[in-house]
Amino acid sequence: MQLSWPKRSPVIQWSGALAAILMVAFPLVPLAYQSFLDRPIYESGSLLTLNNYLNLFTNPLFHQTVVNSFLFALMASSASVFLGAVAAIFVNRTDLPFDRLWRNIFLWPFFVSTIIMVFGYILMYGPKGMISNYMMQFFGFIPWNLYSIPGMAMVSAIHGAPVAFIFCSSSVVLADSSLEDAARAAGAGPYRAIGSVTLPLLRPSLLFAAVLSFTGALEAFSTPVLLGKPVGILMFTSFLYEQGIQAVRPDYGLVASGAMVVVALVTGMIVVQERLLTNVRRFVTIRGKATAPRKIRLGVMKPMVVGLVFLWLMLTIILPLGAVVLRSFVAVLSPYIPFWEMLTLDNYENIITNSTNYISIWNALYIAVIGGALSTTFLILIALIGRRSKFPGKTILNFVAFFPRAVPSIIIGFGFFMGFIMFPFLGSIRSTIWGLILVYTVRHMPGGFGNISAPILRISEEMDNAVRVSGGDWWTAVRLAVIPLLKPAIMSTFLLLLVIFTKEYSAALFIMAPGSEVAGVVMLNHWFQGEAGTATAMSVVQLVLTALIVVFASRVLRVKIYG
Amino acid sequence: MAKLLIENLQKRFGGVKAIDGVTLTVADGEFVTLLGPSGCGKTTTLNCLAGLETPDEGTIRVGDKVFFDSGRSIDLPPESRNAGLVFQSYALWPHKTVGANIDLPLRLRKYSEKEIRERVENVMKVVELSGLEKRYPHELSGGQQQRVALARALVYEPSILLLDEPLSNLDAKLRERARFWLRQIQKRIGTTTIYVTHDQLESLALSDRIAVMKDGKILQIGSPTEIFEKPSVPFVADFMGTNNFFEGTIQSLEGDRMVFRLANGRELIVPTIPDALPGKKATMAIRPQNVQLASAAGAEAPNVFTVKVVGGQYLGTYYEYIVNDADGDFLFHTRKEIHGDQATVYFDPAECSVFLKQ
Repeated sequence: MQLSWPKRSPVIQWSGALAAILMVAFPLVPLAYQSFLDRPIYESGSLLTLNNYLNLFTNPLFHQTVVNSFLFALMASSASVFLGAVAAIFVNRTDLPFDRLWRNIFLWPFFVSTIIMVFGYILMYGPKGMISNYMMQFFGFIPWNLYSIPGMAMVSAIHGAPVAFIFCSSSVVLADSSLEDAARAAGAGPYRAIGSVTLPLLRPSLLFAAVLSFTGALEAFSTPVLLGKPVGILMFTSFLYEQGIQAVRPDYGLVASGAMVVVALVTGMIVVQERLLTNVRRFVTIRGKATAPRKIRLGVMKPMVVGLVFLWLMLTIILPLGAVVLRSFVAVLSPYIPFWEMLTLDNYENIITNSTNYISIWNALYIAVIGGALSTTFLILIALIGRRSKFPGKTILNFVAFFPRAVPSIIIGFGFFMGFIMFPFLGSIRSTIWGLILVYTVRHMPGGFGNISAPILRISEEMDNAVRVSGGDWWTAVRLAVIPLLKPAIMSTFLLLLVIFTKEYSAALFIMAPGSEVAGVVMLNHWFQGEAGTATAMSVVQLVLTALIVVFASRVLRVKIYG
Repeated sequence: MAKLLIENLQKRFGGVKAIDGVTLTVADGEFVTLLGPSGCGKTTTLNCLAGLETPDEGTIRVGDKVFFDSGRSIDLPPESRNAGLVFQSYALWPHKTVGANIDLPLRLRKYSEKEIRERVENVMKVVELSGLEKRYPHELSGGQQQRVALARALVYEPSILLLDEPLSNLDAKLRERARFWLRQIQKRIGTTTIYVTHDQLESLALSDRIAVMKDGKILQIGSPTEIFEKPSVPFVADFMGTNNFFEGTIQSLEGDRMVFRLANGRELIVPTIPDALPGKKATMAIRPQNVQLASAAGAEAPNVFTVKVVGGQYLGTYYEYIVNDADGDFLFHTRKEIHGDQATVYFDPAECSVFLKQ
């Protein structure tokens, strides 16, 4: 046996895979461990126990939380799938005028942090909101209650509809009209064709989108915290927030066991999702030639449909966002005082004069851009190992990379908090934004990994095999033949992570320290302290920055976010 | 340039044996084609030679270099094999120019700039593409792309050249031209070549020897004439062009001829084969183009009989007729149109192949 230096490619593959596995295990193992300990992980002399789970399951507050969460998720997911599917059909398959404009506005909420949308809804539709007030004046009562489970579900649905919309739009059935044409040729009218061919074929996609948004709703944080908690309606995430962060003496055992239960539930949902996805893929494989789908004529209904679409987008997206912008420029927003008499720039001055405010915006931006880039680089590396190598631990790596899907942001943050306690030598990065970048990367590993995997699999393996046969090792092959062809997908993954990182803040709740705050958390605190002006002004700054980045990327760099 | 030895190669995918004990020796400079229908294991065998697939068992040696040996746990990665591979899709790197596609193997081998320039220039001359170095693959025609792929595989003088259906993406006319051209180049440079195809014409035109494969096994290996004229099993006879098959029993042996009795009672004179004994079941094959109209043979010749014409079609160079003899249909080709619904046909015994039933 001749000893030699290990070859380059296996070294890269092993270190990438091990790094990914350690990163995912780092928060989850201590979390699981804590859930079986009788005292906080940092105290000595702890004993293994099942009491945390017993306490949790006998806690009436938790029972209520489970019921609330499932009710909320059920309503939110059915509503968002309905909205997404209807919008997808109207935009893709009818001659609705200005369809691109409507589509773009409909997709806005995807790019906007939920917390900002919720601010807007409170300002418009809350008990003291502008539109609520007009209702009060005209009818003497407000026909809705934002601070309720249906109210939260509606907000969550509007925020989740873009994903359902994208999913339905990319479905073969909507992209290829030949199936419908066959029904038309057989004598069906346009609406009949949609009803008896398009919709039934869309069913698997709808079901999948429903499960997807159901999982999303279980993980939602901003809506339950801002709309539910003040009136005592707790959901999983707000329950953990209350028990773990707001409590004077947090019971970490209880929080950890609660977190474990949520992870188990979401894992169950994902198993269902996976099963459905294999079915959906069966539909995707029948893709025919790319033809411009024929559009259904709305005819005399056209003006009415346009009016309804405009009204809906106005009420659900434009006005709430407008309210945020308006609120940021006034001292008080009230229907009894004309806003132009209250105009002020004080709220923006607050951002500049208070270092926490501007540092948090800067941090969020820094994490989005630098962290997004680092994260993208790392995720491409592990996607190449998991999808494009003969690495022996591929299956494990792919499983691990997708696992954080089952872990809501606030729980990942809590897990890292536990991990940093258990491994104090890493404590030095805990209080820096590098710690946050690490947390965000782990939390959104599945999204980025998934986004880059499909394009990797689309590149013919012959491309890298040709390099291998020509004399290059694995690393040379992916560097010379795969990565250059992946450029558009890499840019789109970067933009996706950038947007997600900008919106993310609940993963930071347990981790951040003075100096590493992110905008979302600071906005939330301002709001709770009654400083809506500062909160909305920060929202506007973040909106403008996000808009600039997204417009620059999509118009100038021609990056396509989402396929 | 080296001799290739494959011994008892085995490869399973799940429960399916993709390669089932392939043993093959290819002489230095020889052109051997692996021929067979899709799923017969020919491309898997080629990928095992290139190192893109790892066999379960067996050995592969090229010259004195061991590529693979399951007994000694040797498995050279593709980059250490110095094999040239032309992919079915050509696999040209779309983001690199033709020149950059071709010089990459040389750069990976750390050749000097001067040598790279000379070699690329040379190989471009060989494949007749001089002057196109700056183009991108998508700016070339299919035939030109195929030649770039060949140039990329030849530029570093591989010890063995592997070709995976390189002509299958060309249109029919171009494919014929490319066939001649490929054969000429291979003869000139003399690299040991393994060629994979499912096209029997291609294999006949190009090869020194053909190995016909089915279900992961080599059924017959031999020169193109041997394979075409003396197929050893019915599958090879069938695969090398359309064939009519007749089931029957050997009646009697008479020197180099024997009497073969068909299921419908008709007796035919066919060539004797080894191990033939009266009473043994056998299959007889004759190609449609070898069935003649009886006017071409003497009146007293054996194997002349009248059949019913069931259908026919005009195919340009000949007519193809489906005829019925008692209860069996078969095909035959003729330059003459048949009028009426009967024809008298003749099977020349020399054109009949007989295979004993296993």
